Amino acid sequence: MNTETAHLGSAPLSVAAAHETRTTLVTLMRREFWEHRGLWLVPTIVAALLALATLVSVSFDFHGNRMPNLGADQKLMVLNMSQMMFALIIYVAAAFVVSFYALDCLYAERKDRSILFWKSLPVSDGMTVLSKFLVAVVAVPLLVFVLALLSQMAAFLVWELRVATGNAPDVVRFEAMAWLRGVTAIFLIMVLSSLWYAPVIAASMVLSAWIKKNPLLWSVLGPVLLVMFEYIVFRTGYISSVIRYRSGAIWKVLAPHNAHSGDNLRILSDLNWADAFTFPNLWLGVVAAAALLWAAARIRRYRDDT
Amino acid sequence: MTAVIEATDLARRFGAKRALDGVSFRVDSGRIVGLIGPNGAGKTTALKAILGLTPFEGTLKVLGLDPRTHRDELMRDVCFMADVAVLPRWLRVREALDYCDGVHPRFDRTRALEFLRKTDIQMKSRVRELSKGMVTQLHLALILAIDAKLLVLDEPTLGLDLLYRRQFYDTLLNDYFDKERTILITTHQVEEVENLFTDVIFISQGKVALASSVEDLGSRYLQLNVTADAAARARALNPFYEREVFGRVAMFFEGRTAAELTPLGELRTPTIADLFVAKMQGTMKT
Repeated sequence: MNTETAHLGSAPLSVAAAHETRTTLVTLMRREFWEHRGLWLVPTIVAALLALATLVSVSFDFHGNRMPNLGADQKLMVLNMSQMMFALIIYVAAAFVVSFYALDCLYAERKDRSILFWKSLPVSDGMTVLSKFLVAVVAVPLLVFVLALLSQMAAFLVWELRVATGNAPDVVRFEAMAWLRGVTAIFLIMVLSSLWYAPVIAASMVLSAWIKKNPLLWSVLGPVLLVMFEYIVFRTGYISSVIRYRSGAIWKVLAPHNAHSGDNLRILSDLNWADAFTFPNLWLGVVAAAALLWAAARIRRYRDDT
Repeated sequence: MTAVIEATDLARRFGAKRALDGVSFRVDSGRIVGLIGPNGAGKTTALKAILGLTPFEGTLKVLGLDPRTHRDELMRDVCFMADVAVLPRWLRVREALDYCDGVHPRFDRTRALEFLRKTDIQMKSRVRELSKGMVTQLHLALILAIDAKLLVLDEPTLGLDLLYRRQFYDTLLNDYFDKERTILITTHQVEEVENLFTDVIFISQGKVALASSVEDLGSRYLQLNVTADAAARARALNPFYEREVFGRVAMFFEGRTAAELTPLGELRTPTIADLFVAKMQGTMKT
């Protein structure tokens, strides 16, 4: 009887606690966007510029000989290509901002001593570090994804308007299934990218929590010195090969082995999703990221340069 | 009375320097305690230990918890304010409220707004646009809105003008303090706030030089102002510190009765500031 009441009593408590944790996490993540406005401003501006560019883009001489004459399949290919391009450009812009962000996020609060304010509230170091990491690998990529969809859609509509008024060549066609395939591919690539680069983000955050001055400089100088040291002392190059490997090996796994040229309708099915998502080094990297985040939280716990 | 803070043999070393060298003290609930000491005496290290911001040796219980292992839990009931410069400059007033609201289960937004309405602070202002005095008001508004059991203030009014300092302590005393709460304050401006304290702890060179309630101070310590010719007789009663003021000598005694001293000169209860100087100079001499 007693154990039953205790059990019943604890259930709503843990629900409340979970709710509290969620509220805290959301608040912490919002906070990051207040401080680092570039995180949402830069991708939003790039996306807006991309959409606007369609409005004023070169009206090349399509009445002349070079007028493109594309088939239905090719027009769908253009649709998928434009989806990919929009996403890629916005993603690259956001990736720049996120790299700087990861190096700054635990350093800025020490530099301006605001860490004493953040630490005066009941938020654990683990939670703080986690929120910053989630901003880098979940929130910003999601924003990029949404922006890519919206701007590509806007661009497509603008383009179709221009086609209707005879101001642009009819090179693209909309088809819901093809569009969805493109969207799915973009989403999966972003998930893969977040997982693959998670240890890089986490390592940057360790530097950010640990380095006394100028983590940005050390993020470049540190690896260079390590590589040189390794080469001079051991005449080996493991560190540099790890760095090179982490910079893009996953994309080789994902890339189709025998590309169907000119048949990009299979944008989704041609990529080796299963191989990529079961790639052991992908998940080893995620484990490494978790360990690095733990280290960053440990460092922040007792880091005291105020 | 329940102990809010119980420190036993706190020690913390930075290289060869002992910032805390076996510090023990106790703070009861419902008290306003002044932690007073010269620069580098270990005050801030002691506060950081209490707040779980720095590692240390020894035993420390804050609200019954060890700040080394239960910091996150502890911070629900403890609030602290380091000096004014720690609110991030990019933060907007509205964001500060949203943030505290989001992360602190016992933050009362209406209470903070109520206080802010009495000031010139605009909701959309950033901290960097506010004067130093206004930043303190903002921080105070946040603190007033948090229902904490222990409030720790480290030089909260450093660099503020008299008006803001006065307002700060008045608000703290009238709108915040009650018998359920405990406040621990370090400050250099002892003269200004000594009427506020119910207890004082003097720290010097990493050790507790004195810990007492203010009521007890009056019976333990006496200041005797004597003329030069009576000085020798008074000196025979072993003052722990003396100081010459306008041709008269002010002597400080511990554990003497008023009856012993009254015949020798003018007797008074030393102010906390005077007692602090006497204690510090006295310990340095020996």
